[in-house]
Amino acid sequence: MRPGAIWLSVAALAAVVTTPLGAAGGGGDHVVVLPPFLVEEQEVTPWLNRPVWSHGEEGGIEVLSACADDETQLFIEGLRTQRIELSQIIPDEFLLQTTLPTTLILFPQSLKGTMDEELTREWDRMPAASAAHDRFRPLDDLRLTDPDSSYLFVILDDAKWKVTKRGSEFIFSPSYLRFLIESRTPALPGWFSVGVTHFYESILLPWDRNGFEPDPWLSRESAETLHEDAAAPRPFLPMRELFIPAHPVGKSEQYQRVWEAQAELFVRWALSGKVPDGRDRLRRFAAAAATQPTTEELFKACFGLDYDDARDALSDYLPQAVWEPLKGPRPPAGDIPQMELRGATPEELHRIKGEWGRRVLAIVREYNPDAMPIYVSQSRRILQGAFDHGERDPRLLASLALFRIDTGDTPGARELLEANPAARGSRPLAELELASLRLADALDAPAGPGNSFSEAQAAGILDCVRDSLRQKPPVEGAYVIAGRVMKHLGREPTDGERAVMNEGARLFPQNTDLVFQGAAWDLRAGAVAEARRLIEMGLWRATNPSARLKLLDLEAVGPLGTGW
Amino acid sequence: MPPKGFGVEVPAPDPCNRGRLRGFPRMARLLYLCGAAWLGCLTLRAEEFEAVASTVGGGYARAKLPDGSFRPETYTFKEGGYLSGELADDTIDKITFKEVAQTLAEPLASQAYFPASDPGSGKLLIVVYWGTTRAPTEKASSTIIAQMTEQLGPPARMTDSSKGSAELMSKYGFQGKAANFGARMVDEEDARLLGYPSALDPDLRHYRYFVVLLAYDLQQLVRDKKPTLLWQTRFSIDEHRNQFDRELHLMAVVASRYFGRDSLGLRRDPVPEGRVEVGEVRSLGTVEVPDYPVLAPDGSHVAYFRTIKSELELAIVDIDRPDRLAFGRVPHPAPLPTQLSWADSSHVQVTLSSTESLRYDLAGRRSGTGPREAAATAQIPPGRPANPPPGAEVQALADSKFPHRKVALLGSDDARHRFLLVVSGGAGPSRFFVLDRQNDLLYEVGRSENPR
Repeated sequence: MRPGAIWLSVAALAAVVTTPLGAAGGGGDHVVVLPPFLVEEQEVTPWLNRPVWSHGEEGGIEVLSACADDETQLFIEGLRTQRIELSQIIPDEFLLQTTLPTTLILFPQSLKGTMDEELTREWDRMPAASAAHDRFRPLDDLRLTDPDSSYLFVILDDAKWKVTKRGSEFIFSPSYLRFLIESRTPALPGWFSVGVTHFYESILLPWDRNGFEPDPWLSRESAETLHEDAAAPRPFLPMRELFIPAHPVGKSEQYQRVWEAQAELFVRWALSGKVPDGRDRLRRFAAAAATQPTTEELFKACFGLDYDDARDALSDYLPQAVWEPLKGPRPPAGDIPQMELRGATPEELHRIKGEWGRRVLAIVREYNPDAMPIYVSQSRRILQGAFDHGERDPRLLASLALFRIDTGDTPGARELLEANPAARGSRPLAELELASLRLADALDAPAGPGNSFSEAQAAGILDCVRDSLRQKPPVEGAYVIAGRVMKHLGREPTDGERAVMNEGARLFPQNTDLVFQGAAWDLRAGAVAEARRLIEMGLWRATNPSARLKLLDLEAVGPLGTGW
Repeated sequence: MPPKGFGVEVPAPDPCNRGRLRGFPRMARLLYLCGAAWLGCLTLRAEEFEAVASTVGGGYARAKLPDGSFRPETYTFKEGGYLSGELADDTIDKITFKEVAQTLAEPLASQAYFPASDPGSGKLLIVVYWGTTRAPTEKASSTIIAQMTEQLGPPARMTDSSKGSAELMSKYGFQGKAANFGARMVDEEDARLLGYPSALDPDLRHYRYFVVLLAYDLQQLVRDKKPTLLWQTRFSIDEHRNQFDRELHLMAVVASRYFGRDSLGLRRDPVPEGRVEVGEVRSLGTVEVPDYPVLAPDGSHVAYFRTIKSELELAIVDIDRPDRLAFGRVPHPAPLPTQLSWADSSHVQVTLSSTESLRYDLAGRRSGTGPREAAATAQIPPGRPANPPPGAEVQALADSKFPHRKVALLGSDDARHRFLLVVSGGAGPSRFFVLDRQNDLLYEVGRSENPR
């Protein structure tokens, strides 16, 4: 395996730009040229103020803001308040949890002229593209996500704020909420993330007073028809088809629209008060569906209904849902403490801007590779420049090491990571990059008997893997690396090592390779029940036939083939 | 035991419901009357829905016998109270608790609840409230008395009894509290007492007749002086065009399927049809109004009969655009339709009990009349096999989508891409679906108005 391949593949998937940005300038089905941008002020004319940056870090949020302190505080307060309110309908455990803070870069619209020109251009194109969700602008902005942390760039309308002194009512955009749900491990079923997100789109803030708009169903026309005539016909899926693990594949567009609308209706029904303890039932059902195949028995255990009765009840609820607004649960009372803001230090500016610039590279590489040299150069200037000036913040060092890997300087990255345990300890990705480099070394020169890894080689890799897994969220690549090591150990994995593999299979059952390896090691160790559970879940989540076949083949051998 | 009257063309007068015919499966069989006895009152009523909300608690669950039927349980009735509206209404003002109880007995029996021979030996104590709600303009704001009595009325949700209700139960003192309970029938709480989640529900813009049954564990009450609510069912119907004494039985029949079961919120079930005003009635026979939809030969539309504002209408649904509903008027009161079919993919044919047939286009416009014509597609009534018989594959597919229901195929389009299904076996009436094989989609296109 090529060094860093795991991380690169993860990074390619994880470097997400939100929908409006992706759609900006598009309009066709061709690949959209995404914006290359950096958080580095242009040389400005003397009569323009340069931004004054403030910094704060508290409660899982790190802020670098060029906005006025009171506007920044208002935004943070809104963000925290809505997170608390959100937890009334979506338990925190169903949202992405990260040990590293989510970094917010707040920028006033009035100072856009000081931003990178390309970013300004893209920003100006965004409103039209995001019209569909314009109520949710703030966190529908620019988001760059690594598997271990997110950076968000938010432009606040400071001119409007100066007049109204009111912050944004809608901070969590549906796409950001969906990202938080879908990044949770183990993955929640697709109907839940789609249903909750669509339901959330109908929110009316402040929701403790206004709640949620009526269900839009398939269209305004269909909702109106049902409102006027409760017996009006409707397409409706059996519950078994609703509760599939992911978005339906290979179905018609109409089928998928019905699936999405019914997912929302189901969530709404569960939260509407029609079902006694519906919120708790929904929570239990969704949590269980993330860890085991969804069966009618499971549903019945949670809701006390079989699939047919539930389908009827849901269909009967639909005419009511399309006209009846729902009240939102009242969030717990309590003041939201203010974040302590102070002027950002040069080190903080370099670290955050440098990391942002590094994350941008994945986008530039994919969509605008010709511009890579320029942006590599700018990022290097920030990160390497800070390092050369003696800055040694571990997070800066980790960013620099990741930057070096991204730009092909693996020796430089290794040197940095090997020499600075605090740097790699500051980010799971840094640990995993080092693990990946060590794995490549071991594959090139296995030091154990019979071309296997020596115990020292294996420990060097697995220590990094374990260290990375001490932080949230668990990264899929960590288990992939561990699996590679297991294959080359030259011995059976210990119970502890096997436990790591099983954990990976349970957390990422959609990864058939992880499930296969975990189950195979279990079978060799005689842990038939554990293997059976993994294969069942793997088969439930497998979407392509070859993956299913692979698991079925495993199921057919050994004790599984005869004894269960 | 099914309620008397179902399947019987002219049921015998019931001592509790004098002077009316009742219990006809709506649309399935309608009296065809003429001569001096005809009063023009063959009431195909407005699309009448009864609101029912039912919950269970206290660990209550119905035990079943080996044949799958419910194990019988015994009960003792107790009068909860009658809420009088501001306006005089003889149809409810003059009805007694005894009459209410007698009327409820039969629907209860249909769910295997039977009166205890000894009032103290029953399993359940069923407390009965009935009355009318008040229109919003008559509603007063909540008063202290109303608030105080909140705990005395039936709880909006199934919860363990409060102190108030314990006191209330201690001497079976419901009667004296009825007025307070009534005073409480206002605003949001009013809505919830009827099982509505919100007073904004359009149903509540009008007066409603209601009945609330609270079933307590009688033995525990006697033994421990502790009331435990096992189940409760609240059902109501719009007063408009209805009379309580005439409707109570049908209301109870419709609600009975939820007795002792959780309805999971408010349900709106159609009220059975077939009511005839008092008069000397001579039955000259029956006609069957089709109680099933028919699928167009090209599979694009479904047509079925329904009643809107007391008139029988032909509904035509574009399956691919269910929001496009078209309606065609059917002659009323007679002759009645006896067959529904498609003349071609653009025209529905309604065969009348006379010698005529009517044609409607897809917009519901009458496009002609004439002598009876052979239908282009023969639609198969429920219970009969489709012709040609559908493949086992289609049946298996349909069955797989309703694992706990009985699924019968009624017909298909010419291309055999879409199939019409009737699905029965649930708590409510049978439902009709179109199975679109190409899209693997089900469309719920209506339900039988026959409560069984």
